[in-house]
Amino acid sequence: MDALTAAFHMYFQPWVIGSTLFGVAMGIVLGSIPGLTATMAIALIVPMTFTMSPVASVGMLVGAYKGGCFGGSIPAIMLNTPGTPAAAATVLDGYEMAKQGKGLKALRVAITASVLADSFSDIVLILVAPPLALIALKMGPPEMTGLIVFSLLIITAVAGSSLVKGLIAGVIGLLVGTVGLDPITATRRLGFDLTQLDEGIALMPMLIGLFALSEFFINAEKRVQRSKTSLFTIDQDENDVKLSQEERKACFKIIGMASAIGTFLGAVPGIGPSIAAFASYAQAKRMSKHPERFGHGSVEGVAAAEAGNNAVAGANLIPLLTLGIPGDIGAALLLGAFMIQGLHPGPLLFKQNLDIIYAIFMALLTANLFNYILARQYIKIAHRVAQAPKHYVFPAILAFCLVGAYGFNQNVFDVWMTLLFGVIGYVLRKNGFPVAPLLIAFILEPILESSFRQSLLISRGSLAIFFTQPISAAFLALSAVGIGLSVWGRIKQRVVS
Amino acid sequence: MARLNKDIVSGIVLSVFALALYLVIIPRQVEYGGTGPIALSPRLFCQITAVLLFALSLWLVVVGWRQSHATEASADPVGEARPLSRGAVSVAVSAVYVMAMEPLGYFSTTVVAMVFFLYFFGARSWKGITLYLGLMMPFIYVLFVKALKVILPNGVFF
Repeated sequence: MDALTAAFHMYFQPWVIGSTLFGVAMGIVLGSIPGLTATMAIALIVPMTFTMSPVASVGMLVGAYKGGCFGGSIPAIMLNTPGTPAAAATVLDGYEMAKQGKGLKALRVAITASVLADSFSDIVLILVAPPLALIALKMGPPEMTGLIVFSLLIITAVAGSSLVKGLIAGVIGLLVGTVGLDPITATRRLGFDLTQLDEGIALMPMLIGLFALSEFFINAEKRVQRSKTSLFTIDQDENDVKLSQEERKACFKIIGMASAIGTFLGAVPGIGPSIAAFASYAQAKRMSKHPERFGHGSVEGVAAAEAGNNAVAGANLIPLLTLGIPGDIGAALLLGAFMIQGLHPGPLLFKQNLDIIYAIFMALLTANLFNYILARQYIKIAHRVAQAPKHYVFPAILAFCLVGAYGFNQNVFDVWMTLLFGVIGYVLRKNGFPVAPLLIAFILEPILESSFRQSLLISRGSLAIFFTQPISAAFLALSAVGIGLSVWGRIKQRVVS
Repeated sequence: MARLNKDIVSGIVLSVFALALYLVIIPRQVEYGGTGPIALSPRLFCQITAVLLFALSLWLVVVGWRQSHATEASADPVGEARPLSRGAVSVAVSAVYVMAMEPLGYFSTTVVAMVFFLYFFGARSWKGITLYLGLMMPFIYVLFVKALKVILPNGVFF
């Protein structure tokens, strides 16, 4: 009760609530510009949080995460261009509705579905996380090793189109994570005698470089042509925008179903919002009384896709907050930002900083409310923002990336690291390697290495400990099954095509 | 001579890197753990990742080789050169921008870099470019210097 009261006093301050509002606004706006994903929105906003209190900074970032998740649906509906990969399912029916002059109706359905599903998964998070954290506290080094290996294998297996490239990206991330001082003996490793690397490679420059700066380099490859996309008019007549009684009933049923699917899938590390959105869409089509309308402008299709993809946002925080394992790249960015603020998500955070955990829960629910209020107004002008000229947007990204990287430690070495990782990200992406597994593996490397080496110390060097401890063995078996299924799925796809 | 598949090239480069890592870089850059338990060796995890990287790179070479036999080569070296050269130019100019940031100051180098990149990305209206810089520089100053208290490099001009 004391922790709850403390959290209330921490969170409900004008400055803290204002930062959540600002984060949601930035997330919606940046997520709605094609080419600027929710991930990049968080990467660009993170430097602004360095001087804030932990709760204010978490509020801003959580707001940006949620705003960005919805923001991606705006260009998906209005421009046939998903602002985030997860909004790809929204295009199927959203764009068709826009072509029929029902763009505003589609956007309103998208907002309602997003916010309801997000709130549902946040409530599940609030109920499930504390008991799960208690279980996680009982996990020893072999169990943690098994869990992280399982998470990394699943994340690398589903990232990108190539399993082997995903695995290579993950291994590169682990390698980059070994730079710095050895966690047990404190001797220098792979630092090339640079004292700036004694503490390892800083997360923020790497994050900004890999995600924001690499995007800049990729877009620099082509000179921007003036867009010929026609603007669909937004119908402002309230009668045309309202849902009928039948549509409202069908949508709420679909939102409930998609929220459950998205929450369940989102709680598994590696299963990102795209998979949840398409799974929800497919199920909604099966459940619908009018499946023939799907793909031709069905409100149920928009509701299912948006609810599925946004329900993942809250559920993704379950493994993040309870185990310290980010489920997708957005959660990985949040984890990095939490660590910069001195917060280490995981079971110990529940034990030592329960007030911060409750404040995070309050931020999550408040961000949903702000998301709804702001998005309802923003969608009236969103189609103009989504067509912001790219030749003005991308140079600004470069400036913000470098000033953000510099602001981290007021050190130009971090700017060079940002540039280096920007180039690495650019080269990897040009060759078809996903960068998300690299970042997630880098973040998990310290825990994985410590757990692995502690397990070997306990077992006096024998690897059998990972197979004799039941939980560890179970995770490793699941990993093998997961990889096997992934390989089998890809072989089947190749045979069919 | 058939153009080498990108995956084969990537696999070969990574496998050479992994070998160099295991045989040269790790022995020079990471202390030997001595005769104690292997878990205490600082080299252990680095070596494991190097071995994994080598094995996965070879797998990538095999995958690339299979794909290059299954499909006809569709790479268009001439068509790919221009985007890559634009990418390389943007990397090079960004590097010069970062190099010049401390001696010449953040704002002066940013103005020059922005003018270059705006033109590079396709902006042609000098009025638009001027207005853009007139809004963006003060915005960065207010946000980062005044609000977030970041001390940006002044350089020789300020």
